[in-house]
Amino acid sequence: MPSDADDFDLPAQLAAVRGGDQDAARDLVNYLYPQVIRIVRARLPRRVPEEDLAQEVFLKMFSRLEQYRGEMPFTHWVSRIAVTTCIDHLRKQQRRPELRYADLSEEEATMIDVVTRDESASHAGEALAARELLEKLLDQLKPEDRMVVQLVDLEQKTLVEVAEITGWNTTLVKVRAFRARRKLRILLEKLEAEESV
Amino acid sequence: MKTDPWNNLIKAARATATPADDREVTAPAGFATRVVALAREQAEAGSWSSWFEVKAWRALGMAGAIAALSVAFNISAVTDSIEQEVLEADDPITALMDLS
Repeated sequence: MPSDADDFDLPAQLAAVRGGDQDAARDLVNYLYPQVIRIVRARLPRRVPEEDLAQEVFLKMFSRLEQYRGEMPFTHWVSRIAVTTCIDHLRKQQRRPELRYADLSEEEATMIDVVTRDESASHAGEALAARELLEKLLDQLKPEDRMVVQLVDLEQKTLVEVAEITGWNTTLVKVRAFRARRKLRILLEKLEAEESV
Repeated sequence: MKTDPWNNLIKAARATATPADDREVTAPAGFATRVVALAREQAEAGSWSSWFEVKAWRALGMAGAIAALSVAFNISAVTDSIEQEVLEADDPITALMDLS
């Protein structure tokens, strides 16, 4: 949610933008930019500059503005555009080749040991390795599944919040999260098995 | 309790998942102006192309209707003329037989 929410009269600005007011359109972009850039940064596909992606989100927002009927808060509507734009970009990217134990760095390989022995990451370096290992595993998922894991497990958002952000219903979010976790568990087991060979 | 490597991994990753992101979140200078100009350009291009599309479909419809009407009005004349031509036409086989 944009920080200066109290000072900004969103309905009035939207009406002005619809009426062709260019200044109001610029104010709207500046108002929504922090919200959009946070979404983009958290889910940024590789090789896509964040500003380009943010620009694409805003262009979609303007082109679809007439379709916005006010059924949900405008900021949620924009969030959905941002999320679907990120998913579209992730989908366009070529899927990474299958992850193998040999592809892991020494720290990431150690992390497999740590998590399978039920030890907690004891220092910052291990936590960072866990994060990098997780990113590699997430790269193996479909963009929608990756998004759900990021939102539910990593950012610890509730199902309702995820549904609001993505526009998917809570059942779909649950199903996607379940499938994604199952796939990630299988991937982890596979890496562990490769390690012990 | 059974070890769940996935849960352990996600717990460890969460420790670095939300570092204080002190990167700038305000729009860079000129960003809003550029976006609004591009949106306007797209809207204009979109309205021109949709106007052209509407006109093109209308023209196609008109052309189709004129074609259908001209066929309907002239079908009897065309069929009569074909029948006449068939009757009047010299059958090459008959002509050959006559020669012999």
